[in-house]
Amino acid sequence: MADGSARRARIERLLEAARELADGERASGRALRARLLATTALSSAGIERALGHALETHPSEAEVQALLAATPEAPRAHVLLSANVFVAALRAIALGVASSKSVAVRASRRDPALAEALFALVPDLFELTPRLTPAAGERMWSYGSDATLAEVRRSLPPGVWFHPHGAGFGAVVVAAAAWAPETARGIALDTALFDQQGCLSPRLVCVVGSDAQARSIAGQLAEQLRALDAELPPGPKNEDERAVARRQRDAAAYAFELFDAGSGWISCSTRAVLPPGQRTLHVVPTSDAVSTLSPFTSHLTCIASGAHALSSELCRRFPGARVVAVGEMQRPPFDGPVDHRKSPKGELIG
Amino acid sequence: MATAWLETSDRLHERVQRFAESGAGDDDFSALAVAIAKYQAEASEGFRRLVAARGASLQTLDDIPPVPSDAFRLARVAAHPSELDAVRFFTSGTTGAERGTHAMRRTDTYERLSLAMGRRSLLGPAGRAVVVALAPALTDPPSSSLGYMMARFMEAFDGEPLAGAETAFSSGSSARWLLSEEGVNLRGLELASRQASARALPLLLLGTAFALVRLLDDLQGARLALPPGSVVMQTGGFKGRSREVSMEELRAGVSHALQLAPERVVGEYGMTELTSQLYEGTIAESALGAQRPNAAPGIYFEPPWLRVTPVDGVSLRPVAEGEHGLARFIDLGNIDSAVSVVTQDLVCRVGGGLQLLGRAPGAPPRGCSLAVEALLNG
Repeated sequence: MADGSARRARIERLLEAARELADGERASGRALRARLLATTALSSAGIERALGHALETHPSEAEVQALLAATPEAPRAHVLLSANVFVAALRAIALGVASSKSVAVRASRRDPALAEALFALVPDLFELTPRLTPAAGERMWSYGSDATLAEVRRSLPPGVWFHPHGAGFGAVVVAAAAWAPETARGIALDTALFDQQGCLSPRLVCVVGSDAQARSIAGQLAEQLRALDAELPPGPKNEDERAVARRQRDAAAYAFELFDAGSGWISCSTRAVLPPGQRTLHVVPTSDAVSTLSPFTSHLTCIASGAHALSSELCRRFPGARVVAVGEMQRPPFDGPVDHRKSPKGELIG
Repeated sequence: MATAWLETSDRLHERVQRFAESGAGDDDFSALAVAIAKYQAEASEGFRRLVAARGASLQTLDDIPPVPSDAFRLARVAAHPSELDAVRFFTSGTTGAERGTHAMRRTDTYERLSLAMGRRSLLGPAGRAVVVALAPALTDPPSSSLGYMMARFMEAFDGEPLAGAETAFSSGSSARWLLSEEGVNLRGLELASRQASARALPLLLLGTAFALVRLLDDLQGARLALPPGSVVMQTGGFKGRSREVSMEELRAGVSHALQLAPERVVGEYGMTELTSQLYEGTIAESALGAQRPNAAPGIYFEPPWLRVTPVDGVSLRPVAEGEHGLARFIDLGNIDSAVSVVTQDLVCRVGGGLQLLGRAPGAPPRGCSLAVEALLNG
């Protein structure tokens, strides 16, 4: 196995490539932006904010050391990327690079932009391949829907270590009594980034308080999301996507109290449901946020808590989710996998 | 003491029943639909919210905002309180998502409308048949609108005991529900067929597409001759419960196995969210067949109390003649739920009827955010 300094150096070179790509003044950065406009369905402003806010270009030394410590080494690592939020490719490849000096990456067919741009800058760190063939003793990091991951798992030969990352979503817990108006902007930014396509994006807002307080907060969130339509416009939608959005908005208008949030909407009711994304949130008043979120445990990746008193309880009750501050949901520490739902040790295929 | 909304609802039920019986009578379709929509806007908070959100005026058919069929999964779509539910029908559900519910306060309108269109589409002038279903026995209370309709067909079109299996007629008799986990009760089907022959009646066999595939599988190539004039009513899809075959292949297979002309395998289109049904018009001796001579298979006709309009998925306005769009149903039978419903089914107007073109494409999933269908409610 490689010594720690070699692994550390590989990560640093990958991060350096990411920093170059994040820089809009560099030719490679400009080229990536142009490509992402075609592959991500995000607006130009949305891409810029994602590169500036959510691409992990400057992790702390402690984070990098934690990532190296948490990542098992292997003779060869494989990384299967899905049409994730585009910045997720960096962390996924970093896990492979931390694991092995021999890394094969299969980029998403629909959104290969960042993986290909990184490869162009550091081609010796990993190879891009249309087909992954992991063997016993090697490690496989896979991203995709739960159905895709189940299929991948079935295809793996015995002896491979499997690291699946399935779909998920984020939630917000706020105490109405401690609500500050600026919290609404933080939640709105977490929501608007990536047009809520990410597994860290909030979908459900638990307001510890009364129905009236929840409605008031829903109204403030709607106002902030409306404002973000100008500042951070949503990406273009095709006819099919617009038709689905129309249907979903009308169904929500029938079922719940609805607040117009520009391109999206906020629904509010005493029943916790998951809205469909594309800048939509469901606000639910509760006296017990843990109970409200419990049915969603297996899919919760991230919980933003505006109520610090609740954070330790949320950490304890939802160990698979990262508990972060409002406004920080889209940039979890670069210290390992994006969430804690699966053990970083992986699963040995029998 | 009856409340005002209840009196309004009852009056609307009576108007719709009269409309269905007379064809048009003193009422007209648009006036009835608008009256029902206004009643629903008064009595249903959800519909009132939708009307407000869309700024709808409820003055014409196109001003009635259609309720997306998804709403039946998210909320109670009803103008009356749940304690007045006479039946609750549940959608079958194809994913882990919550199933939808259509609650009905009165069943007589549903029964009259479904019997009227079933009789018009499936039976000849005599209006009688021995009726059995390739479906599991109806639960008590009934939860499937299709099963409920099948039981009403058994009562209204048949009503006689099956000799050797029943001493008195019962729509709940296991001799009439010929599908179970074990497969199709072929002996029961043969018995019903012999009974029909003995009574000089056709057999009306009611089944879903997946049940008919199961019948073909269980017959293993054998054939069973049904009496002259018999009809197979096929409805619904497969939903992963059997191998999938095209409608043409299924029609040909059933026609061959049961020794019927292909046009005697009649498609029915219904949804839990609706009260009314559409049928193919291929039975020449039926009232629908007489009205639509030479109707082609694959073209479905609505009854006078139901209008289906292909609409644009974004504006929900009717598309140009000949173009396909989402199916918007204005169903006068949906008095206590949603008079206008829009689905994800694509349809096209053809020859006075409708061609069903399958589901509209959903928004392609992007990113790793959980698909809403996978986890609607914890």
